[in-house]
Amino acid sequence: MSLIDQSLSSLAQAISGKDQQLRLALCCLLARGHLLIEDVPGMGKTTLAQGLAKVTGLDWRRVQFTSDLLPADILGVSIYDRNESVFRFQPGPVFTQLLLADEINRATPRTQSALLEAMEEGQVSVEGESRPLPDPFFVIATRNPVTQSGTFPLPESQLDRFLMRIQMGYPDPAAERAMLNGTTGRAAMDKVSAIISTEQLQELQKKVEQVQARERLLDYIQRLVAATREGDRFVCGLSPRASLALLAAARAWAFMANRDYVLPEDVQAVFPAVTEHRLQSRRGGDVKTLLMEVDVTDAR
Amino acid sequence: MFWKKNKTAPPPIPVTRAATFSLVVILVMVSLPLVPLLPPGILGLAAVAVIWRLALLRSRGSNPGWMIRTALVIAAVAMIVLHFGTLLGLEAGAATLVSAYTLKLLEMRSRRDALLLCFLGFFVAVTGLLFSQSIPMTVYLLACLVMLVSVLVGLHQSSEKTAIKPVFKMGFMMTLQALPLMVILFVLVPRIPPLWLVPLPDNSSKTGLNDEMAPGDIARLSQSAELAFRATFSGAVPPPNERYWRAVVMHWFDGRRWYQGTEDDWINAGVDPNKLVAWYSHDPTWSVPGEDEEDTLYNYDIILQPSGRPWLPVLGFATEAVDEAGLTRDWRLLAEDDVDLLFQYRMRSGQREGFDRELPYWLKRASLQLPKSGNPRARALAQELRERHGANVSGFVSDVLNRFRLQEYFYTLRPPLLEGNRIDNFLFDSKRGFCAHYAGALTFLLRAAGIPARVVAGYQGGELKDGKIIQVRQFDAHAWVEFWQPGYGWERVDPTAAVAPSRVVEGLESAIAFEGSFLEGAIFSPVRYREIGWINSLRLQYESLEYQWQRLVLSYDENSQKGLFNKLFPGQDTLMILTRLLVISILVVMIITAIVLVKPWKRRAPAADRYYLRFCRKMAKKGAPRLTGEGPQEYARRLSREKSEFARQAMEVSALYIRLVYGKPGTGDLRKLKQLC
Repeated sequence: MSLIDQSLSSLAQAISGKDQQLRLALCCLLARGHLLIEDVPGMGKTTLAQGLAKVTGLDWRRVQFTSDLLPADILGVSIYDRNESVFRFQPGPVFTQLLLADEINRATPRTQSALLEAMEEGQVSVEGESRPLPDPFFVIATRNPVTQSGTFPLPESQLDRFLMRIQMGYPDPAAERAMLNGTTGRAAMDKVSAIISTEQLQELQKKVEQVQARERLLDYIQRLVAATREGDRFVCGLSPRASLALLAAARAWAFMANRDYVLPEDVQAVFPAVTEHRLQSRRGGDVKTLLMEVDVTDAR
Repeated sequence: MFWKKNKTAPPPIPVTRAATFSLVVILVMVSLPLVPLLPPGILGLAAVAVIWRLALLRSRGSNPGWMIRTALVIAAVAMIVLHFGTLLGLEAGAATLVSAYTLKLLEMRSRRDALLLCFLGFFVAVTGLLFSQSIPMTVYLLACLVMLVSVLVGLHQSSEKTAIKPVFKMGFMMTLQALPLMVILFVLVPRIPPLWLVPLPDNSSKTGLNDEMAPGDIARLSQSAELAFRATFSGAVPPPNERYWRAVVMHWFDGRRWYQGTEDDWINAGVDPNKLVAWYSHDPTWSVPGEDEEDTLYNYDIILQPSGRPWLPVLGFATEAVDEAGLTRDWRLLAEDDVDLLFQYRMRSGQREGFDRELPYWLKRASLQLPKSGNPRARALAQELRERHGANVSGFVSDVLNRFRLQEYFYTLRPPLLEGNRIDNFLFDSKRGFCAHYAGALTFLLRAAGIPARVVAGYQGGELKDGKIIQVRQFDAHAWVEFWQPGYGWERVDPTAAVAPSRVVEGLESAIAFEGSFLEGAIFSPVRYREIGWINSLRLQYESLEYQWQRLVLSYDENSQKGLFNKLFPGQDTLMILTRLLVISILVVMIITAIVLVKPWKRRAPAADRYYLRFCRKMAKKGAPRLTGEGPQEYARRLSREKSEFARQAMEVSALYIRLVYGKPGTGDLRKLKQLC
């Protein structure tokens, strides 16, 4: 049993009935992307994040975002040391391998952008000095739907920095009953053990990057991206960053299926999770419809 | 459908709401030009069908059962037969077509029905052209065409697709692409008469000159700004007061109205009515005077609007016939048939008078005809004038004209109604009238004094454009008098010129400016707003466009086609040339289409794809086509589920194809794939 399958079954002990979401979350981690989990409160977002942290054995911290959180609360601040008469940098919670940013859209845009810069650059600038973040650095952010009260919307440019967005959805009745019985859910978090070590994770991430994507597949990705740009289904088409993200996620997905080459089906599997949060739909815009309209081959 | 459905047939494909709604809109659009000739009952039926369909679209009510449908069909047929007396013929046929179309809309269920509706729509749209070929109508029908093509496109797309704009864009582009082909076919398809013979609409209810004149007829015409004809002059153009277009000559008077005379009237007068017309290329049975060197001759082409009547207006006296027309004994042109399409003819005529220096006895009799009694005061006046002037006919006429000029006579579009001895009442009591009153009264006086005279109706004036085109409208309709003098012949006299000189020089509008009755019934006519500069210039531009449209497109018939190709390829058989060009053009269009479809400049699909797609086509024939966007792996899995007999083949093919295109190809993979597909 491969490391990946072991991790998935271990995670499934705590979060049952959400296999697709677990696969996507792991895929996102392998593709070195950041993950955004969006749903109403109480759907198990935090549990998923915790489980992911535990199973990969990463050093993790959690920040609960609130409207009065300041950038310094995340990045860290220099404090005067009386004994040595110098300012000493006190690193914030961002200096960790896995950061769980809970309810990210409850913070002000200013604080959000402090984190998002760290996500993109892999480093933070505090008081004029750049400080590198650990490797791997993985952010799982959870977000409440914008319709909930007390939330600030995430701007499109910042949403673009998340490789994937997944939605939890309600559990099916059997899974919910198991949770009520106390056999799954946060109570069962203890059963989740570290399966992948940090070194193994880095090795897997390297292998994912070597997964082969041949011309015809890149053609397909380009056609899909072009289809979002033309016509008036979406307010704005996918960015080049999004096409890169799509390829990276498809590679990771192919790797998880024990293949060393990417198939159109891999692209299709990750396409909604990778693109839905980046596209603002207009009348008749739906990424799933798009998949049914763009053929995998343009040969006649 | 009344027959039972085949059990193995696939379920009918439903029609999307957008397509249904578009079909309703199209139905209304293409039927609109036909509305004026539909019986009210059919209009009601169509309204019921449309409203019912819209209600169904909003999920109200249920589909009509077969009883209701049958009842509607019977009702439609009954209404058409009651209204027209037949189901066939042009108007009745159009009504039948529209009712079949609306009833089909009502019972539409599947995509097949929707397609049928589209094709019916094309047909109904073309029917509109039978009744009007104006530019607005053509543009409107082109818009209908775009709608129809778009809906056809929409019907052939997957039902998930809801975006409407791209569908219409495509429909528009397809129509645009068809335009060159349309032009080629229009120019080249030989206009062989029997093929192009369509039943023509009945224009008899159109406004226009009549063959009889009761006071008030011309006043009615004066309310219409509709174009009567256009004359394009090469060379000299007559001045306004010489623009007398003769169309109808009325010899007979029955005390109330003037008219042309029936066959019996002429036989009673002592002449064979058939000898009154010399058809084209037949020599007249009477003598036609030769040309007078001192006379100014005008050369002009006339395009006559459909009038539903046979007369062809001519400036002054006509002396020769034209194709499909004849010269009448009273020097007019008469078409062989009623003019129901644009009629174009070339004329050459002058201002010369003095025709019929000798008057045959029967014509003299006709030109002196009066009812035996009635209008005693007018007869007495005629006697009195006759005694005063003796044989001096000109003196007689100018005396009457002076009477009109000096006494309290008025020119008006709103004359009082006349009863009993109408001529008397007009001449001595009301003294108010329109050109018809004056012309009628003068002719009566002349005849009562024994001077041969007749009423001529036609058009007087017209608007000069670009220095060479005269446009004549219905409100230019006019009536005047011709009287005969021994040794001189016929002479024109216009009594209206005496009472309202501006009518003859400046036109109707200025003659009745004081009473404001110009086009009072037609407030939307742009002619009414001639004083407003930009409306007038818009109108003039539109009219010259319309003129070109009529000259180049609508009058492109067998003769002009022949003329055009004789000019281009002199000395060769036109039909042969046309056939050759047509075949060549169609070949060229087909080659271009083939090139555009095959796209030889695009790289050919690699071998692996070709084999794989061949396999997909094979599977499609077995009833399991690959869906758009379906990857090879997924398709193979679905095939194994749905068509288990091909499971192994599908799996092998897909594995090979995936290796060849996405993975690491092994040697011999391509050959194996070729064998398997």
